[in-house]
Amino acid sequence: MFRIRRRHLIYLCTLALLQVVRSGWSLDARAQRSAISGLVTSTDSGNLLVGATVVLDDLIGERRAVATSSEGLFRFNRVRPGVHTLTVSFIGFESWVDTLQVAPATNQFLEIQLFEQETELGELVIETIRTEADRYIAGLETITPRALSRVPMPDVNYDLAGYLLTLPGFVSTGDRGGQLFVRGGTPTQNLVLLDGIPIYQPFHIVGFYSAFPADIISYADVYAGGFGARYGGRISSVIDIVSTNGNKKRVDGAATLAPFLTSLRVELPIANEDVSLLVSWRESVIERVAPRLLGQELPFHFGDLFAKIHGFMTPTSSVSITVLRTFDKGNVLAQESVHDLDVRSSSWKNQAYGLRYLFLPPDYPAMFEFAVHYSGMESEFRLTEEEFRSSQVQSFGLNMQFHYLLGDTQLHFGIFGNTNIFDYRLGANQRAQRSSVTSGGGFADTQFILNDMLRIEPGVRFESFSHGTSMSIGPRFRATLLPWGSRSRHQFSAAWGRYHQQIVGLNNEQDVSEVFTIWASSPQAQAVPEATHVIAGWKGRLFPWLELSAEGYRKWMKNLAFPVFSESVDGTTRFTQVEGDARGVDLKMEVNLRSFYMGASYALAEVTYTRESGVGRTILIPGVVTTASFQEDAGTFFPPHDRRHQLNVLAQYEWGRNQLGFRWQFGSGLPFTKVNGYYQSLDSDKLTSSGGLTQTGSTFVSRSTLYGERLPNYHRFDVSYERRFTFERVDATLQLGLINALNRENIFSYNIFTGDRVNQLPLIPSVGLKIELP
Amino acid sequence: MKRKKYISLVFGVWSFSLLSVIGCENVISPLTDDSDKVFAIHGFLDMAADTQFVRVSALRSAILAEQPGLENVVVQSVDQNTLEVVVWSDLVIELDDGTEGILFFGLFTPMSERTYELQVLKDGNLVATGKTTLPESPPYFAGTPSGDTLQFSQIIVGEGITGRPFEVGIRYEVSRPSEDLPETVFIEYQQDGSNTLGGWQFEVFLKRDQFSVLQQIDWPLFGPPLELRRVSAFVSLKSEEWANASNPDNFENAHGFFGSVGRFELPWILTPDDVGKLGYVDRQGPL
Repeated sequence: MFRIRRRHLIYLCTLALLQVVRSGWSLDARAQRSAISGLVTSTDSGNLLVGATVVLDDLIGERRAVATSSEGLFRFNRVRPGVHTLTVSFIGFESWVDTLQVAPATNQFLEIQLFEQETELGELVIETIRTEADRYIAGLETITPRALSRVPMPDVNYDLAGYLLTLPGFVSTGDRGGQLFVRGGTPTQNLVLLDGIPIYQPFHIVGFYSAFPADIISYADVYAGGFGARYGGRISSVIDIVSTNGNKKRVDGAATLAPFLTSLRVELPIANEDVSLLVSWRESVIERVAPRLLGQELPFHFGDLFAKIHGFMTPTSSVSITVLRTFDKGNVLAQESVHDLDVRSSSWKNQAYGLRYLFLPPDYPAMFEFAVHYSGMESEFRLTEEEFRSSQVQSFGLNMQFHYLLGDTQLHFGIFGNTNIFDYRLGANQRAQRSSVTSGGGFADTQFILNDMLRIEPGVRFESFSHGTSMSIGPRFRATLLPWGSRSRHQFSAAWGRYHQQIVGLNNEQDVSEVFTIWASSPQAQAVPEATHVIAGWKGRLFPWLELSAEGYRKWMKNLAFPVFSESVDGTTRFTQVEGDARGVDLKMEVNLRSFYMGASYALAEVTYTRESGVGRTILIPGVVTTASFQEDAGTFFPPHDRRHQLNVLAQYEWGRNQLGFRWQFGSGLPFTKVNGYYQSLDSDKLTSSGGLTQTGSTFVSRSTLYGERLPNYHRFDVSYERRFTFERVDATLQLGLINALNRENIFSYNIFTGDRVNQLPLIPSVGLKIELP
Repeated sequence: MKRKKYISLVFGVWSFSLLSVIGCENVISPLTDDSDKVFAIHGFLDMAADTQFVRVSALRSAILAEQPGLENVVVQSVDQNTLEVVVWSDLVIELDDGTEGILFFGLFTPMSERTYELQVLKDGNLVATGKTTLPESPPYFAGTPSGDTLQFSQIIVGEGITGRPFEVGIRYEVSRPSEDLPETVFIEYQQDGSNTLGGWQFEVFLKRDQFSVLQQIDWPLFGPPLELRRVSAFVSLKSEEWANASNPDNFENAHGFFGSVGRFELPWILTPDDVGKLGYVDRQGPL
């Protein structure tokens, strides 16, 4: 096995070297070729324009195109000397066109500012040439603020959470609790990054909202699997959010008022238009509004504060500081008795601080990035006045990344180090526990454009830990095929990778109402969770306005911790190790016209967990679970997040200053375990003694086939209408919405012991107002 | 414009068709349909008893629901070797908490190494079973007695016994001088021995036991010596089900515990010399 891998590695390295040579790195060619690079910003705000299309044409008809990076940068290497035309275009901005005279062996750096268009443009469709931003990558969905605005919300604020649930393969157990399952993976197996900072609980207690309002998002790369070597530490998915920068030219801002949230955003230019400050604040009001608006208690209080300072030190270097603080508190079983509302609660707080420095040497095809961060989360689950559990995780991280852009070859590599500290306490009478783990490692991600049709991206990531397990090595590979070259309407892509997760989150997945999670280092005695992903897909643009895609995937997961049902009704949660197998097909269709958009997706998925034969094993984390081993039946079952069919339809129609949006979601029922009944279990050790058969015993529950039944199907229809008004000094947006317009009683939680059923949110009418500085 | 309208129309029709097609089933039933065919069984078969008892109860539909009765329920046992069926009778008893429970009893003595299936029939149909196989009589050997005076003892090794016996005792059969009728003295050992290579062992304190024998039959310490007719160990072994009581795998449609206990006599012969050391007259017969 090792020999095969090494052979493949040698082959790939040889291929890389050949490609470098073929790419024109002979001394003669280097002497002649030049480079053009630049920074694209908005004239109006000074903001970086990420994903702008930059096209370079020369006189002999050769055309090349790239998209600007997350820092608004672009670069063309190996440019022939002579006259070229450079075109920069971006949605909502006027195109910039210039003719450049390129001298031999020179490097030109351009600062390009685009003017916002006065008239509104529809989606710009580039048919003639495919750019990086348009390239289909298996498992990846890049989300823009524009896309977020298509999802009807109970609010005039858009949010990432609402959009994620329109993606095929993304499953939530309900509209409260903030749990997101991606293609068979669990919430604690998702890596969520904001400007490179890991966020442990990225969703608010009301499932419509993430910790990231749409206004602060520049774009988000969402990998449902098959992510590259620059990401690690989680085995299911990656949501990498890059925040926008504040306006460097003028004061900007917005305020909103709606039944769920109020918000305020302020952008301030500082220090001679080189530095900006962006502050965003949101806080819920639904807990105060719900009794009068809906006639029922919705005791959810949540909010977030985001701040970012971004500044250019030179045209090719920048520094940014990102701050995020969130809080959530509420009872996810909010339909229970008033007494219960007063006591039972889940709460958590995120705190994240990060600093990022980026440098692009003007005369060298490289980029350097340095980042440090602190991220922490405190959470508490209170069942009664006396009974509670608390957990805290803190992480300190540092990483350095280098990006070399060698023409058709790109090399990204980096080193990183992390220290994680975990504290938890499982009750008022329990002793507080603390542990920590430090890790360090590196990664290398490469990209070889072999020809007009084929691009391959091999990579590898390794990480070593201060204790616990030996070094983990995660090879990654991705390939993209354009059968008819850059003008191809059809693209094929595949990804493969192996992933490890040393830091694990343990929660009671069997109870959706118990969102409390303990983060801890994977114990020394147990193998760490790992996964292998395989994804393959196709994306085709049949017409300029119609795009279809199909993607098949499989995730094999090992050493997962999964809670075991206790037979005793008042028994404590124990964990065994299971192996997971997630497989499915995602289909997607997008119709994109000037004033009409429709996206429809269907996901067919199956997730199975298999418990090893014979002996169940307890996860040995002191204080977290019992250290006693126990016997558990072997078997294969569908975990509680296995949603077999999922359908999402999203539509938006715009006319004039009006916008009408619809969303319909359907999900087949999630698995649950039926009960045969209850009985008194007698102590077998006492049976041989006198009176052994007359003992009262303890109440036990007899369960049927594990997760052998399905809850009712879920579906919800949302509609929203928006109208924009322009006044002399401000712009205003009025929003009217109906969430769960059909008032479907979707189940959230069902207590099989008591028969108590808690439904998801009912029909919610909303009126929202947003005031923006023009 | 025409195309746009067409797409919008298609979308609208499609959406509402789907909405209408989706089933409105929105009710949850937490209980399985066959919940009345699952029972709780607790009890064990005892080789030392001629009447066997088990407690059988139907499952309750809720934690605090009343215990349902056992109408039309028959309990029987089947000897898997001989296929002999014994139908058990029911008996209402008062439980420790004051409520009522139902015991079933069967009139038979189970035998070593045999497998018995306890069957619960409802309305004439077999709905739940529990199985147990009684332990086999263990091969054993007696070591050479050793030690001085009160420490004079002997090791008994039961080969192939993996679990410890839950009851151990020594039986001495003695007779008074010039009397033919033997008297039996049973000494219960509090110690249950220990695991050893090849099985289980325990130490028989022969000399100390002699004092107990004299005391129990009320014979003077310095009187004429008693005659030793027979010495044997009595061990009670639990069936395999006891080792896996928290997660039994011997039930079909049943929960609880169903096992068995084997009771075995392991006799051996002391040498005349050892008998003399103990102060007995040797009148041991063959095993």
